[in-house]
Amino acid sequence: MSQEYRSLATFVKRTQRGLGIRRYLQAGVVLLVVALLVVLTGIGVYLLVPSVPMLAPIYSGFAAIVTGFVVFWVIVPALRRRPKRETLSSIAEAYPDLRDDLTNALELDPEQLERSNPRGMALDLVRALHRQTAQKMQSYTSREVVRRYRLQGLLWFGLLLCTAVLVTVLHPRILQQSLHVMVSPVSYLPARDLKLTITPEDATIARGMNLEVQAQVTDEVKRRVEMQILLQRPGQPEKRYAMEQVSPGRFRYVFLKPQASFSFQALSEGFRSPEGRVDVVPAPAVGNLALHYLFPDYTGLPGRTQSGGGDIQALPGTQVRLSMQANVPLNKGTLRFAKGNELPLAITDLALQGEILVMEEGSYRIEIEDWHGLSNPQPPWYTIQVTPDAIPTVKWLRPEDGIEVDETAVLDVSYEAADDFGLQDAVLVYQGSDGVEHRLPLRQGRFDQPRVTEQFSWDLYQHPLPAGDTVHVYIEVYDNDTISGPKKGVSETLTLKVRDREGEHQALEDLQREIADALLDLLADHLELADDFEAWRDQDTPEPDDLVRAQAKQQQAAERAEQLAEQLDEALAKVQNDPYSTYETYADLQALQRNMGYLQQELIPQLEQAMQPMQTPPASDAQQARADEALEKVVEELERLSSLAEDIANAEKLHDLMQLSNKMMEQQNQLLATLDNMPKDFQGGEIPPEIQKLLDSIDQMMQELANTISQMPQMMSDEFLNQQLENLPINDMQQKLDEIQKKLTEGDLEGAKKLAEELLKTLSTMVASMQNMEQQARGGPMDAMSQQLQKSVDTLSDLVRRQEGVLDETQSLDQEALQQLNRAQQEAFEAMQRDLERELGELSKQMAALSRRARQHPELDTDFQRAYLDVQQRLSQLRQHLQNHDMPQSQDALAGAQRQMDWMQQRVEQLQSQDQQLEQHATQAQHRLNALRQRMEGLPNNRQAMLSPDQRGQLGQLGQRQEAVGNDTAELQQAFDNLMPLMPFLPSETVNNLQQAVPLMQQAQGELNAHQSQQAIPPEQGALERLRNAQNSLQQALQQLSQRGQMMGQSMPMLRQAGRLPMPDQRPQVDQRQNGMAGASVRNFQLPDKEAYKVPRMFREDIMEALKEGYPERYKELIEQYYRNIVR
Amino acid sequence: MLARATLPVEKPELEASDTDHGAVLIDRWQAEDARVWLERRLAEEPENPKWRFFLSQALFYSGRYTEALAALDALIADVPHPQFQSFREFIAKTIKSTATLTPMESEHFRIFLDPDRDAALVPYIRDVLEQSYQRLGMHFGRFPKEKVLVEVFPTTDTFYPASSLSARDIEVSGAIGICKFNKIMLLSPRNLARGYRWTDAISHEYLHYLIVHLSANQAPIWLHEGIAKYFEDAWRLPESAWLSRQTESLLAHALANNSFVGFKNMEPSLVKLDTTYQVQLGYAEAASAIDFIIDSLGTKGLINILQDLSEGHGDGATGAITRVMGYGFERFEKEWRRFLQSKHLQEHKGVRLPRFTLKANVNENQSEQIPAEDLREEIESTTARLHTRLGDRLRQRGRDRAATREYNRALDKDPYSPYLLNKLAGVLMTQQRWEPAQQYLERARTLAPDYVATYTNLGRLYVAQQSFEDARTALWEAVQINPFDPLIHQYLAECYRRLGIDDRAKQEQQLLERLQESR
Repeated sequence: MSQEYRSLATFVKRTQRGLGIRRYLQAGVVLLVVALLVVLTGIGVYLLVPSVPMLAPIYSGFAAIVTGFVVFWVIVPALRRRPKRETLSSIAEAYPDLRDDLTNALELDPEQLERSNPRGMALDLVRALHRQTAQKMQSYTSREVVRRYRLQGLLWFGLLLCTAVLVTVLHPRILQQSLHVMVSPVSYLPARDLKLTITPEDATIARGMNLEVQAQVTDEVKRRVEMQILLQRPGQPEKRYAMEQVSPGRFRYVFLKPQASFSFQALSEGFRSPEGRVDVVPAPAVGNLALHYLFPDYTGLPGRTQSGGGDIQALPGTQVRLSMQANVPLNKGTLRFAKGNELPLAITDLALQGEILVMEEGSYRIEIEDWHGLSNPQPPWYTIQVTPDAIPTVKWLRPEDGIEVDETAVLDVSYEAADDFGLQDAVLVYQGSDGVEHRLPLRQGRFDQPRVTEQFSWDLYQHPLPAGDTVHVYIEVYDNDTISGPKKGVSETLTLKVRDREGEHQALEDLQREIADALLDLLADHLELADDFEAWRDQDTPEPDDLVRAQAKQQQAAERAEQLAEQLDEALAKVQNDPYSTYETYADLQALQRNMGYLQQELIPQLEQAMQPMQTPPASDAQQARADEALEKVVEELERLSSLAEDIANAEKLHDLMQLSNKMMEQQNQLLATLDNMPKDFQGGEIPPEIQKLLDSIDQMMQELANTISQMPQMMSDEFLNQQLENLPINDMQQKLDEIQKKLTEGDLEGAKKLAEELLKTLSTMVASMQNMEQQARGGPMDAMSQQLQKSVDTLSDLVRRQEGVLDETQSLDQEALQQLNRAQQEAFEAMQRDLERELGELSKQMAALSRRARQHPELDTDFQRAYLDVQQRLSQLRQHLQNHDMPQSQDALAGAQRQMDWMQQRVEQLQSQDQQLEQHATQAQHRLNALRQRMEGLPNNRQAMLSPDQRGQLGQLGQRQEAVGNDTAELQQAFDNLMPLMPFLPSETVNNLQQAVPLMQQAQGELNAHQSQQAIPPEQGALERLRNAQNSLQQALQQLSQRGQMMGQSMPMLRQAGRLPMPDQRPQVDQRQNGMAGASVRNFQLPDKEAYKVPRMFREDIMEALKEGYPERYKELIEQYYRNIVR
Repeated sequence: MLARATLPVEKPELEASDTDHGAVLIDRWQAEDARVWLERRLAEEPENPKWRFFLSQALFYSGRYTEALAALDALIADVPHPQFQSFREFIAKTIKSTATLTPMESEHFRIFLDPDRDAALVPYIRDVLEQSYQRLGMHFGRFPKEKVLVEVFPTTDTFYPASSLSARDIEVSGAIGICKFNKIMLLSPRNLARGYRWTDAISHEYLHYLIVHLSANQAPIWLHEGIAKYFEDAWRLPESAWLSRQTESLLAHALANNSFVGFKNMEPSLVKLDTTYQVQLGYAEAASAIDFIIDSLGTKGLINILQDLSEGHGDGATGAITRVMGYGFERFEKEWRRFLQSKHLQEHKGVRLPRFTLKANVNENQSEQIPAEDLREEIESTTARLHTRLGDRLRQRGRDRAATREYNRALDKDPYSPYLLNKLAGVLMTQQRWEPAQQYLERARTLAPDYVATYTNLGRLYVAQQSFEDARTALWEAVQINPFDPLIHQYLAECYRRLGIDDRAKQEQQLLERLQESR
């Protein structure tokens, strides 16, 4: 088949299908128009049927005929298949230029032609026809052919449809009724026998009520129905009333508030309904309503009765009892609430009682029903109003908002709370930045009063706040409402800033470590300087640059020492407020500060001074030796300081370790207790959260412990040892902890307990070992050397006493010598007194002549004359002293006059114009003065010469005693020299003073041996002063040492709190010159003995008795440790 | 050392036999002969409890512990004597103690040791023993044909039950080895913080073995210990170095104060003496007596004495001395003192008695619970300790020059401390000041020849100076004391590499790696 033929055939088929669809549409339009027309006609019929019942069947028949006609003549033809020829004709009509080409072309199927005559000429012609027709057809469309046939009756269809819609909108059921007439026309025909029924037939109503009666007839034909009242009051005629038609066949009549009972009947077209009966009775009602309120117990309010209305106003939980009276006997009484629920009323004769529990707002009414089943008409609604119980209020009194609190302090909390009825349960709620809320009960249970002011000590050690965090705190307080549940009152939220004591402590430890390191560096610098010194000694002249560098380095070291002193001050200040540092640290730091001060003020300047001559080499051997000695002293002191600083830092670390171990012990005990309390039938699986928490906590502490231990400074081992320096069994404990977890998971409770006990044992051993370590670190060599130290202290006291003896006796001998001398002087003086006075007179005259002569020389100014007057005054004093036999004063006055005279003579000699007479006066005056001096000097003045042989012997003995004291002092100094490095706590002044005392004693010894009592006294006094200084500084240090030992590792804040800390500013002012006695008030008192500190006997006996009962094996170590500590 | 008691149980009081030849053989540690003899007797009297008990002993003395236990179990089943039970417990303990030991054979020794924990001994122990065998064999003309049993115990917990020694014996007497029950038992040097000269100790114990066999176990303790002490270093030195500074000082002091322990007081064992001083003096006395014998009669005379003892004259060493030396024991003692006086012995300063501090409870379960040995104990002067601590801290802060001065100040206070000398040398070496470092180390070596750190440091110094032969010598000394220090093997490997001894270098390298892994 050719392409052209196929396209032509397709075109025709498409056109044929289009035309078919168009015909179906046309038939549908016709059908709908007719149907709408019939239904709309039915509306008219329906309206006419009540009057002309026969119209209904006529209409129904008409509708059937019309419908049949339309189906037969319109629908059926439309459904028939349209012949092809008609289609071709339609195409030809639409496209006349086709003529018959299309018909012909379709008639000539090229395939058939090819089969019948494959080589005929016609085939080509046919193909040409097809080609030509197809070319024409290219511009034609099937749609155009179909469109030529327009749909008829659409307008009608539209009009009718609109009408139907309009009617339906106006009267929604009218079309349905029209259809009903069409489908069941018989029901509209009149019935032959009419039956009337009434509803209700019998009724009892309350007086004053209306009653509606309905009548029903058997057909729906429009007719008149009447209501007849049969029985009324006697003599009253029967009455009829028309009934109102409600719907076809249904009528009604309303009796308006009948006052008496009666009978009735419905009538229509001679037919009657059965008789009905209405009984009219009084309407039920209640009165005398009374409400009795019973308030909730927690309010403490008395009951109350309210009458005259049913409205309720009460607190939630109030019970309201209602009582009332009815007018007729009742079958039922109910309290009906607006929300729909109801409560029955108890009925006794005509009395009713009920109860309402007020919990929420609403309304109610009282519904009753009498024996006839009649209820009270339209009972009134009463309201229920709930008076709310007020929310409690709480107000902070203390602390203030925004303050900074100490993480270990006890914070005073004070608040005021109030409620209208009562309060209970106060809780402190705090929340850190982690968002976790912590609740701390302030009070559990009821408060006595509805308004309270309460106080609470918040021990932040037991209930810690996150260190360094800002915490929000508020108080919750609850009222005692037992009905709707306690209501919560919340205070304002305070913001507290928590001090990070641990962080601060850590910083302090860092500072201490820094100080120790800095001191070590300082020591290193000086040791290197000592190295340099040695190197320079080997050279003839050291390089100038080296010297300058050394000088600069020394300068830097001095500056660094100053910085260190500041750091020490800072550390000391911090320790005083650090709850984690011990008193020992404080005392040690104080000692460090004291010794540091000595280094700075004494030793470093001495070194600097000793190094000065080295700047201009070559320095002499003596200078070098002095520098070496000064440097050695600095190095020794720095060694002591470095050791002490390291001891402080180490002891602090150990103390931390100890604290941590104790915490671990507590946790471990808690774990054991929790394990003991676990059910015996524990099956394992998931570990209970409280135990897991404890295990995690112990694990964390162990890691912390290991970490701290790893940070502990160790001795530096240069050697390989076959063992690790490990005496804290951390790994073992860690392993045990893991095993406990495993055992618990497996349900082996006993195994877990056993392991936990072992762990506790290991821990207690470890704690004991830590205690030892801490004690060693704190006491260190001091404990070991304390005996030796005490001995040295005693020796020093003895030395002071002996030196005092030597001095006293020397002074006594000297005094005796002085008195002898005075006596001798007196005798000699009396012998020459007259001569002296004459000489003085002559001298005065000579001076007056000198003065007169000097006035002739204007160069000799007023100063010269003033000097003259001064000389005269002194001579007058001299005369006076001589009369008083006061030789020393006389000699002083003479010396003063001589000085002035010297000056005057000098001025005379310097005169430009020589004046021989003046010079002569001056010389003569000088001679007389000299003569006077010589006469006076001739008086006996040698004390030594005054001593008797016996006294000389005594002085010799004193010299021996002084030598012995000196030797012992030197020995003691040596002993201290040895002790000092081991006891860096000791003050350096002690040794220094001893060192200074020794040469003084040697000097005194020399003087005593030479029987020079007067000359021996100053060095003796100097030595004694130094011995006393040494004694004082040592006693002070020992006092601190002893105090340090008594503080038992407590912190400064704790001691301050306990009032055990001696405040420096509270010490009495002590005058050193009076041996520390001045200003101190002394009373006789008895020091408490050891017994006074013991636990009272009764308690001790109790403890011993308790111990007889035995103790759990696992606590054995702990108990033993406890007693060991007590004993220690 | 040697313990006179052969067994921790008394011999059962059984009915006397016609002959106790079996017991005699056991006493003489001729275990194999005893076994053969006893088996022959048992063939005749299979139920005789006495022979059965001795057989179990003979088996035990041959090192056949399991068989000994089985034999004893069978005996106890028939005759439940408490003494059998006691011996059985001892064998069971020995089996338990030796359970982890692995055998390794040399030509003349069966050595049992723990190859894991005592890996550091493995490369050397065979050579030391074989060298002892040869050298001492030449001295005494005795080359045992049977392989000698040697047991090296890795821990004290295994050593105590097997050796019947106690911690006190070790710490007071330095009894870290024992020759008993026909075998040599040694505590691994790993148990002492710095080890000990274990090579001499093992040779010392082998000497006891030889003496027992040479004297038919009749030699008194002083002779035993004297010979062992005198010849213990013969395996490595051409001349005995028994007269060390320590020995000389002890003898000089005893001579000056006439405070000798006395040969009789040395029985039953030196380790039972009260103090370390007495024990060390006992050794010194005994060794000097041997020196006197050798000086008088040569080694031949000594061998003759042992030979005489083995002949069983019944008058012990007194008789043997009299017969061999030609004069009685009292004169022997006088002559010996005269001999000592002729040596003009001197007390040296800074001599310290050796310390044998054990690691506590080094067992499988508590391997970590070792009490720290306080290094400060190494320094006698408290002030020196403080200076040392400061020196250490200065070194930690990198102030080596200052640290050197502090160590020097410490040394001023305690000039004989090898610990301090080594510290000072160490810090000097860090500053590459080799010459003074070497001087301090040499001084430390003189003062304490068994102080291992000195040799390790010398090794380090020589390696740095590329004197590899010297380094090897020093490090070999260190190996003889504490071969568990990986550093020794690191330096040794380097030395061998540089000296072209590749196989030894490889061996040392392997050992180094193994020790590092096990740390």
